Amino acid sequence: MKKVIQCFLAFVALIFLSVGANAQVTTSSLGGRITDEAGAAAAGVTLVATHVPSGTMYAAVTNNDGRYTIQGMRPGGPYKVEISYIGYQTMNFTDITLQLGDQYNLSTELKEEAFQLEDIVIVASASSAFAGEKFGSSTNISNQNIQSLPTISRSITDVAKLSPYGGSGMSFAGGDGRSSNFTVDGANFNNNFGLSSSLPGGGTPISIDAIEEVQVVIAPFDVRQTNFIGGGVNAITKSGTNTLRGSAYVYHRNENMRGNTVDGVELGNRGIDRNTTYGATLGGPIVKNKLFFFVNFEYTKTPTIVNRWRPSVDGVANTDLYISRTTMADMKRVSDFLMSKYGYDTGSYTDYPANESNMKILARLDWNISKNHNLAIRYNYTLNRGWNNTNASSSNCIQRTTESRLGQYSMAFANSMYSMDNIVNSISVDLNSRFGDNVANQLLVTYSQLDDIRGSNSAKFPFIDILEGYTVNNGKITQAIVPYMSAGYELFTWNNGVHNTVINAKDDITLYKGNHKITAGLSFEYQMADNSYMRNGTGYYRYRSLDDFLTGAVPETVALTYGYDGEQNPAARVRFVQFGLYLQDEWSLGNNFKVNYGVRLDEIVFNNKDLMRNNAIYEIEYDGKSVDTGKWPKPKLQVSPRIGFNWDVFGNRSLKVRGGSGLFSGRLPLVFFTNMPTNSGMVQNIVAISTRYSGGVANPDALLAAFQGDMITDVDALIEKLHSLDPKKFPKTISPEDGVKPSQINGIDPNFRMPQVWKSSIALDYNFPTSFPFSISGEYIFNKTINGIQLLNWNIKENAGFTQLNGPDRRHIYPSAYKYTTTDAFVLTNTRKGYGWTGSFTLNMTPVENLHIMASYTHTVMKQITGMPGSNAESAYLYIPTVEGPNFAGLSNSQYVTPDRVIASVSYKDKSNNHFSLFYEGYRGGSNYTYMYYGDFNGDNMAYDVMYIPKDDSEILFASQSDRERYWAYADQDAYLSKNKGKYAEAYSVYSPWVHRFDFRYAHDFVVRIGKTRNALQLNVDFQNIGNLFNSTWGVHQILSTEAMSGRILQLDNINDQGVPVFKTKVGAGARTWDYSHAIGQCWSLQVGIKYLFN
Amino acid sequence: MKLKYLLLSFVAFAALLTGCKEEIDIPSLDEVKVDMSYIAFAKAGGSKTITLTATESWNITNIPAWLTVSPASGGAAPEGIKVTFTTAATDSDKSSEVYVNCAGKVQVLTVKQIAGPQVIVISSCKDVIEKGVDGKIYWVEGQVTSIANTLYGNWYLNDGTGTVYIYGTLDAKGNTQNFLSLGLAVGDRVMVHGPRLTYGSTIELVDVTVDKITPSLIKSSKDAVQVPKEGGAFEVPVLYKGNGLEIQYDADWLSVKSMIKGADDTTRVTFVAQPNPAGDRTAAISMTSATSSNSSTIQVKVTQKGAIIDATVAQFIAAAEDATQYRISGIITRDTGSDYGNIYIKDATGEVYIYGVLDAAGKTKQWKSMGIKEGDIVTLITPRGSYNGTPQGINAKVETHIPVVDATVATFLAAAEDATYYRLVATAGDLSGAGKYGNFNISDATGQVYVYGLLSGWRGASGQFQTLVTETGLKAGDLVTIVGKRTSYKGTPQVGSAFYVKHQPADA
Repeated sequence: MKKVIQCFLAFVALIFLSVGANAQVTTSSLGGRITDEAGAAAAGVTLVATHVPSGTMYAAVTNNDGRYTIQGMRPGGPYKVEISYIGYQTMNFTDITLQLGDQYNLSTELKEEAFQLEDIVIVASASSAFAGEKFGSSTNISNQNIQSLPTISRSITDVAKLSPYGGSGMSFAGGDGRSSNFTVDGANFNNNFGLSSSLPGGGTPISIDAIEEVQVVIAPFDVRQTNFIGGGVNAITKSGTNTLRGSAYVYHRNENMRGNTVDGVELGNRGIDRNTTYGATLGGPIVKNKLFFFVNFEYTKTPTIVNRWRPSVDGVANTDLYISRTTMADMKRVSDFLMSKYGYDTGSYTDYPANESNMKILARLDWNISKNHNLAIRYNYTLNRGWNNTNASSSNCIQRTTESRLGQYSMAFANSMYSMDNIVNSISVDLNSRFGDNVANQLLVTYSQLDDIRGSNSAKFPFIDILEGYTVNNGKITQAIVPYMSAGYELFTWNNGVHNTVINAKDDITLYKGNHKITAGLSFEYQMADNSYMRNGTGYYRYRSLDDFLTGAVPETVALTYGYDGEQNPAARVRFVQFGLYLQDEWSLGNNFKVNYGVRLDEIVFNNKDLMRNNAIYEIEYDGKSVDTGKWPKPKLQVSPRIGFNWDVFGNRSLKVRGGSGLFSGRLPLVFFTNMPTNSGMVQNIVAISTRYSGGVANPDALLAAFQGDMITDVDALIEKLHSLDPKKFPKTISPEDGVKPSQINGIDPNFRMPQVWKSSIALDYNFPTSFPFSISGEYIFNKTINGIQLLNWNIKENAGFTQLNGPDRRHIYPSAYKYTTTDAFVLTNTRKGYGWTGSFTLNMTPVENLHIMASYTHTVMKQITGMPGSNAESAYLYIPTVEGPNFAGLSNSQYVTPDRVIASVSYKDKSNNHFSLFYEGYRGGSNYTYMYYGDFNGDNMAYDVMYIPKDDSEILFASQSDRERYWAYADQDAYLSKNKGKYAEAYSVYSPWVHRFDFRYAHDFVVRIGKTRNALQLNVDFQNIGNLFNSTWGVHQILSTEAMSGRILQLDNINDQGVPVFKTKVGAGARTWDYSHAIGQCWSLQVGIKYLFN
Repeated sequence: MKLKYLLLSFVAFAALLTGCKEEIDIPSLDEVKVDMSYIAFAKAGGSKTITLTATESWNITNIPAWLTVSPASGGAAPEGIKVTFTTAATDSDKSSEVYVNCAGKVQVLTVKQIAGPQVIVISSCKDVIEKGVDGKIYWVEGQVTSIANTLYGNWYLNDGTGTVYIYGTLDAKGNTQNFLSLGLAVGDRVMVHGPRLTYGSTIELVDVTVDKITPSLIKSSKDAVQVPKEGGAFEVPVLYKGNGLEIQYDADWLSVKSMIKGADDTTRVTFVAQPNPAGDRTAAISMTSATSSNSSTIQVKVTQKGAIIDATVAQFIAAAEDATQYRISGIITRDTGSDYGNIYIKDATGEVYIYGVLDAAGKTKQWKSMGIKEGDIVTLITPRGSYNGTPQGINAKVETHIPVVDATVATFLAAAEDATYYRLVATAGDLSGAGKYGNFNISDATGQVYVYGLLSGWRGASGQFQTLVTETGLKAGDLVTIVGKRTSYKGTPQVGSAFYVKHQPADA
């Protein structure tokens, strides 16, 4: 059997070589086979499916095989389907709900007209969820599921918990959350840059009140889906219908609506911690059955005070009252001076920006252009804004100020504060067409702007620091670098931001031919990501004293960062386009078996104009290789073949087997690309003409004298001035020859490929023959890394010839000359190592009406070389616990894995409009640790060396008896060390113990009917971690205790005269592995809401 | 049946896919292999043999002088060849990387000889200087007090018992002339060892090896501050490297006003001292900077001049023993005859020993030339000290000196009325009418004079005469010594401002 499967897999692999495109799923479909009573194909049968709320109609006629398919339908419903054929009874199916991205199988037998006079009406049962025709692994989360989910954050990541593979933010099935794909109406909503794994727009790019349905995909074998290796989340927004519907809501929580105790320990003073969300939705017809609208507005306010300091009247600071020594009179003088002399508005010195806010706007139009053409246009704008104080004391002028710019010694003006804006701007245009009965087409064009940028209320003006003063002795200036006042455009804010623009266009054409459904498509993606940062981008002046500033004396420092060749926004940038071409055939073999096979071809082409080679880097040789920071990887054709099947074993939908195999490709956080230009030093010129000090005595740079008098406030004029002073030091252009060697190099392997994984799955779905819907599913998914990502330091020599220790731990010890040069080169490259699997069981039942029960258990294993921790190449390289050092890392558990997870939900709605829902989540892991040696064990200068776990006392030498006793006392109480004796500790394999959490939601609707309109006022309360309300340890995550020394429990004391290491034990007597996490987020919390609904 | 196959294939599929496990790979070279690459020797040295296999001819390079390798090269040895490493006994740890070269590949061997834990005996600087033997290696531990040469590393180490000169310091690799690489600075605590050498009259340790450096986390250019009596602000500049600066002081008259970090990273700590209403006083400021693993403290001594406290001898005796200066005054009852001026002074409240009197220039041993004699009245400024529990004044300064002139009654009567004190030794007359104030006649062979109000001692209170009589047993006819001024009442001479010194009973 095994051999047969192996051959089968090899066959699959041979036929298809594959790659990915974008998971842009926005519609559903309906299909099936119509037969007569004798079971023969009924050709020419007319089907009309009507989306009842909007009156949108779709029609199809069966072909010679009796088959039909309608593509591009609105997900959801309810639908009614009328099947008519001359000589046969017309059949009406009602209450059909289509799931996003899935095909509903509606097959039936026609009855001859003779016997019955009325039409047959068949109400789709709740088991219609079983009518789906999916191949791979996905979970659909309906609007109803979303509404009944207890949630406080009201975020999409909370919704994704409902997937058996979710639970940990945007991480699915053990993948890195940064490589999951999130789309809304097909538009990219990812944090593509990947400085963190949180979603754009401050983490909540879209209101969950605007979401109609969510699909979490892990291994779909549809060639249209791609751009993820872990999981994908496809959400679609709500549409208007023929009924005018709306809602208005307020949610509130504050510091008194949460617990403050963990394991009996108070977590300190409850500071102000409030959050209020206001929102409204409205949807309805513009033209009945034809044109619909839906709008959503949501605003969240988090009251915050950013700056408490105020200037004094008398020049005396009072730290208790946040009064600075800087006087109001002086601030007024400076403000007036800048206004009258330069026309610059400093902003207030008594009123400062505060409060964090999040605003979301969404508008959608659905237009049934004709029976065969449906157009949907959706626009979404999210602005998350928080304010920050002027940077405390940093600057690049040799000596930073010794006190904060805002504090008892110094004040800054309101316009010198900066905002952090997380912006989402997205448009999606989706045209679904049907040409005749056999051709369907989808054209989807989306645009997403996902920016995290700093903003300011200031006009473009230099930043000015005024120091407290100086003394002159024998012509020598003695300067204290104590600040007194700051004004101007915040020095680290100009052009500081991450910009990401994504444009996607795709066209799929679907053709029905006999029992084949052939889909062909083209896709195009343009992606631009950049990270810009120009310190002192508007210019910077530092003066020794207020008088010096006001009289135009020689400044203490003049600084500026400017782009070469007139570039106004010199940023480390990556731009690429991806072209995709795909073809797939869905082949129905008989009534009960479907196979889906296809292939995707993608090619990524990078724009090399964004780079310039640095010859100083290029000339460094690493064992014959060199790093060219002037080139992105070469274009590579990625081929992604996929096959899937769905088998209705007994032909009655009671048992289905589905699965498939195929290649999927994803992305890595683009910051790993932009690290290359960022560190090559060819982007911008950072200028600082400053003053050096020795023992407080100032030695100003000779060039400073040229800046006596008025400040040059125009950047271009300042560049000209600098250039005229020293054209060599302050060039206006740059060439590869001008490059200098940086302290470390970030490069990308010219043969680098985007990550690619081979996923295979098999699943069984069983529908119990009960009177109520009751089903179980078992699913097994196996992932094999085809192209994983890894960072290598090319500067490290091969380890095969290194010395090995004697004793049970035979790892290599780095010799003194283990590097080729003095400059490290972290190069992004691929690895083929890595695999993982997940197994899950899911149960769904609705024993009585309005009572929904769901439970699932998932076990996840994911082995990889690196999870690329962090966003900086060096940290992503360094923070990997290994035996032999990061260049020679072996496979280990993924740091993102939650190995065991159980979820269960029960929701019930009674006849008196009470809604109850309880969500349980139990998981082991989530915080994953590693046992390592304390300090550097193998001489590679990195303290991330996993330890060898001795089998017994004969395998380890200790420096003292006390070390021996303490080690074994700790190891014996620790489950991981006890179970893994005689092995190297594996990275991220010490899993935090089980946590059991219950979330609860209760809502009550007060309903008033006015005419046909139902008006409901809903009061709701969401409890998170409700168990913790009763016991301060329930639902609290356990983390590695402080006593456990971050897992670094052994330290090398010496290597003895046999070449065997001798250890000291770092853990104390009685140390335990686990301790409760004393974090506020571990406590119970609740949120109350009022929602008004009408329809 | 269908179902059974289905489940079987499901299980088989799962088993197939979970089957790929990859163990941690610790690679070795194909061209050259050794069965042991970490070759360690004990103190006694000896031989260790490894087996080397090589596909081509090989040789061993980078062999240190303390190691013998045999053979150090050879031809292809696919079956393995024994290579023996030999070392002699050693007193110090040795370590080297040795390279086996074969077919362009290098197998690194680490060869170490471990002398074992040295029995380190730390000597005090005093012992090294006084009892040390040239040529012997001594371990000393103390503070770097000053650095004389930063190329060779010549500097002074003080451990509290004395200071040893360090002449030459080896760097981490044992090389000379690379002192700066150690980063030693004044204030750091170090442990070093090296051979003793007497160079001229200087005892030094030569070309020392630095065993341990505990860098001082805090430094200051001041270790003592003088504050005027009026108090006020004073600044202590400190440079600290630890996490923050902790300041403690043992006086409530000090407070910290501000801490400002200056251009050169020095923090200027400004203290304020209150005006000093009492005598001279001192305080110790200790400033600590610490990291999680280390902590350094420096002390700054603050002295503040104080007001001098006027005290009677009794008050002086009762006072606490400290730096407070007292002004005591009395008649010198006894001079022990020492050059230092070890005397007893007495006032109405008591008598106290003064251990040393300084001259106007503050010098000791000048007593004999100061013109002060027994019986004179002195006002002294002295702190309260003690000797074997007995209170005494120490190194007193003379504020005023009143010479007392010996006189007979006749010469007294003839003297002018002025501020001069006279000592009269005469027989007490009838005391029955002396009353509370002690008004009575005294007489000697030359005449009689009226004593108007005899005080019980220098600066004694008036009206205490009866107490004096009770305590001393003075009675008419006794030979009494008094000191007083020549005054008069309505033209009649008398002894004014008089006080009792001693008497000799008539019947003795």
